[in-house]
Amino acid sequence: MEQSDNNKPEQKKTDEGTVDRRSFIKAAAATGAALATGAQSLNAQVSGGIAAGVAEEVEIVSDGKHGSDFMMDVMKQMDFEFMTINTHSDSAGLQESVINYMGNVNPELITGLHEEVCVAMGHGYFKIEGKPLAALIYGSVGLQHAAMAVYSAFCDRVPVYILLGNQRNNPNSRSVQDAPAMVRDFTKWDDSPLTLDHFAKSAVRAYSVAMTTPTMPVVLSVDKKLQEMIVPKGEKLRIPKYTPNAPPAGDPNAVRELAKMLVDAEFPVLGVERAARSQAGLEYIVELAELLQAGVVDTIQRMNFPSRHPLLQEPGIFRQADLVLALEMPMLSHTRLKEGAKLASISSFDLFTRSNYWHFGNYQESDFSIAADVEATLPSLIEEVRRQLPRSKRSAVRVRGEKFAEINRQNRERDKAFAANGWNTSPLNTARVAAELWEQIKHKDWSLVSRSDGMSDWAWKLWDFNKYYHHIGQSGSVGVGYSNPASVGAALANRKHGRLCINLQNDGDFMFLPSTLWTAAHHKIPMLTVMHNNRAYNQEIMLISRMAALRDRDVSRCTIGSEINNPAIDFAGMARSMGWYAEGPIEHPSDLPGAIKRAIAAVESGQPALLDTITHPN
Amino acid sequence: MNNKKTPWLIFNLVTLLLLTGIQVVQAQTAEERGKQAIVTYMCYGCHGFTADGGQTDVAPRINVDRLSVEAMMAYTRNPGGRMPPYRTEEQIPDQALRDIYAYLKSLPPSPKWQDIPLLND
Repeated sequence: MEQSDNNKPEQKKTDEGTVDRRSFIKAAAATGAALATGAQSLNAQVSGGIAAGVAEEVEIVSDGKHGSDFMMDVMKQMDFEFMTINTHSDSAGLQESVINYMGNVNPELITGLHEEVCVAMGHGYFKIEGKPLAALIYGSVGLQHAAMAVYSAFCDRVPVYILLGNQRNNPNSRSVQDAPAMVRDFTKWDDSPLTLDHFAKSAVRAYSVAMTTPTMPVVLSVDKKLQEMIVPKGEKLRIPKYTPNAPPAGDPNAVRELAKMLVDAEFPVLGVERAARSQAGLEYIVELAELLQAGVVDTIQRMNFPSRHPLLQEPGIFRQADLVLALEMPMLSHTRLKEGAKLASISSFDLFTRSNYWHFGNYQESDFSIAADVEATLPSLIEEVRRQLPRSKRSAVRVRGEKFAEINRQNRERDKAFAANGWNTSPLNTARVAAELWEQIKHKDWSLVSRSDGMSDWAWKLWDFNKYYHHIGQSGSVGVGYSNPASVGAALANRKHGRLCINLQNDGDFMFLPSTLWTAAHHKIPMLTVMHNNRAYNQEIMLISRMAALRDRDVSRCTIGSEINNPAIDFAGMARSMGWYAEGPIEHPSDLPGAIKRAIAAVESGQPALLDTITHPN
Repeated sequence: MNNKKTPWLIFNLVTLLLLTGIQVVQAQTAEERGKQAIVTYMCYGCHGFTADGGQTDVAPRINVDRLSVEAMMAYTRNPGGRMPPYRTEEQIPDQALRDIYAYLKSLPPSPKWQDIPLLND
C-alpha cells in the first residue's frame, strides 16, 4: 500500500466522498450483521464450549476514508462494547474515528485517568461479560503505567485487547522501536502492523488468539501515520473472516480412563481454580461433584462452586482423599496429599505459557493428566462417570456425601463462632460488616465485583454465592492496585443487567489508583464500595512484626513504612470530590445498617457510593 | 506582690502541676494501659484490637476466660504454631502482658453466634 502519498489531512472530503461513504455504510451494515453472529458465537463459546458462529469477511471500497476509520471497521467486526482510553497524541486518529466515525458507540470510549485503570477495568469487565474490551493507551510511557495490570490479566487468564499508539514512521522523543516488547513476557501475542491490510489480519488474529483457551491479553501497536493516512478512493480493503476456535476438549479415551479413576476412588476430592468460565461451567462442576458425592475445594479464582453447597470443603480435606482431580489448578502438588493418593489433572496450562514471568509455581507431578479446557471437557466426563458408576456403589457414594456434608456443617458453624467474636466492637469487626451488607442485598440481584479474600473472606463465608456473576474471583498476580479499577470494569459489565455491584475495597489497594472513582462517576457506573480501612498495609505489619520478634528486636516500631495513618485518609471526602455519594468514617456497628441502606439507595438511583468503614486489621 | 516570693510561687506551681501529672499517669488503670499495650506491642496486627482474632488461619482469639495470666505470659514468651516468640522484657515487659490480660478480662463477652440474627439466615 502506498502510504506516503496518501497521508493527507481530512479537508479532502467531497460530496462524492459522502456518496461513497453511504455505500460504505451499506457495507458496514453488512459487517454489523455478521458481527451479530460473531457475538452470538462468542457467547456460545463462553457458556458452552462450542463455537457456533462466524463473522464473514467484508470487502470495503474506500471513499477516501482515513486509516483509523478502516481500523474501526475492523474493530466493529469484533463487537467491542467499550474502549478504555487514556488520551494521547499518537492515537488521535483512532480516538477521533471512535468519536465521529463510530458515533462513540460500539465501542464507547471510557475515560481512564491512568493506563493501569484502562487495562484493569478490562480485566474486571471480562470476568462478568465473558468477552474483552479494548484498551487504547500510549505505546511507551502509557504501557509502562499499564504493565502491572497486563501481568495480572495474564496470570488470571483474562484477555484484554490492548492497542498502543506509537510513532514509528516519524519518530518523536517518546517513540519506541518495538512497543509491545515490554509486556511480551506476559502477553499471548502481539504485532505492529505496517499496512492497513496487515492491521486487519492481525487485529482479527489477535482477537482469535486472545479468546482461545487459555485466554490471555494481546497487544497491537498502531502507528500514528497508519491511523492518519487517507486510503485512496476506490481502493478495496478487506476484513478477514473471523471464526471462533472451539476450546480444546479432552481426548475421549483419556476422559474414559479418568472417569474410571473417579468411580473407583473411595474418597475423591475435586480441586477447582480457574475451572468455570460461565454459569454452565459452574453447573457442570456441581453436577460432577453431586454425581460422585465428591468433596470440592475451591480457590475461588473463578466462581466455580456455590459457597453454601454441602460438598464444599477446606483445603485440609486433600489429606484425606485417595484421589484428587485438579481442575485448572496447576499448582496443587502431591505434598498436600496423603501418601499414596493419586493426583489427576485437567488443565489448559501446558497449552501455552511463558518462561520469564512465572505464574505457575513448581512442576505438577500428576499421575494422570489431560491437557484441555475444563468446561469443554466436563460434559463428556460427566457422561462417562454416569455410565460407569455401578448401581452397587450408590449406597457408598451417598454415605460419602453425608460425611462431606457433615464436615461442611461443622466448618460453617466454626466460621460463625469466629464471626461472633468481637461482634460489637469498634473499630468494626469485618465479619459484622459483611453480615450487615448481606442482610440488605440478599434479596436483590447482586454481584461481588472485588476479590472475596478481602475482609478476611467473610463475604465468601457468610453470603450465598450461587451464580457465576456473583463473584469475579481474585486478581491473578496478587498485585496491589488491581481491585479498585477491576471492580469498576466489572460494574460496567453488570450495568446493563441492573445488578447491584459490591466492592469490598482495601485501603492500601485503593490508594494506588484513586482516580478510578472519577471514571465510575463520569460514566455513571453504579456500584457500592465498602472500605476495609485498617489504615495500614496490615499484612506487611504482621510480617515485619514477626520478623522483629524472631530476631529478638523491638516490635513496637514495626508500623514504620507500612501504616497509612497520620494523617488518616478521608476516603469519603475523596469520593465526594469525584462525584460519589459517600459516608464515613464509620466506626460503630450501630451506624452500619443506616449507612448501608442510604448508600444502596444512592446506587439504585444510578450513583456510585462509598462507605468508609474503619475496621479491625483482619 | 513581693518580688522575692515570685520564684517560690512559680516553683510550687510547677511542682504541683508535675505531681498532678504524675498522679494522672498513675491513675491510669491496668485495663487502660492494656488497651494501649495491645497497640504498642503490635498484638493487634494479628489478633485485632480486642484480641478477638480475625481469620481462623491468621491468629486466634486470646480467650482469657480459659487462659490464666501466667499461661498467657508463658505462651507469649515461648509460643507454638505460627506466632513468633516475644522472648525478652525489651520486646514486651511482663507488666504490659499483665495489663493486656486485665484489659481483655474487662471486655464484655461476645455474643454467641446462635444469638445473632444476622448469622442465622
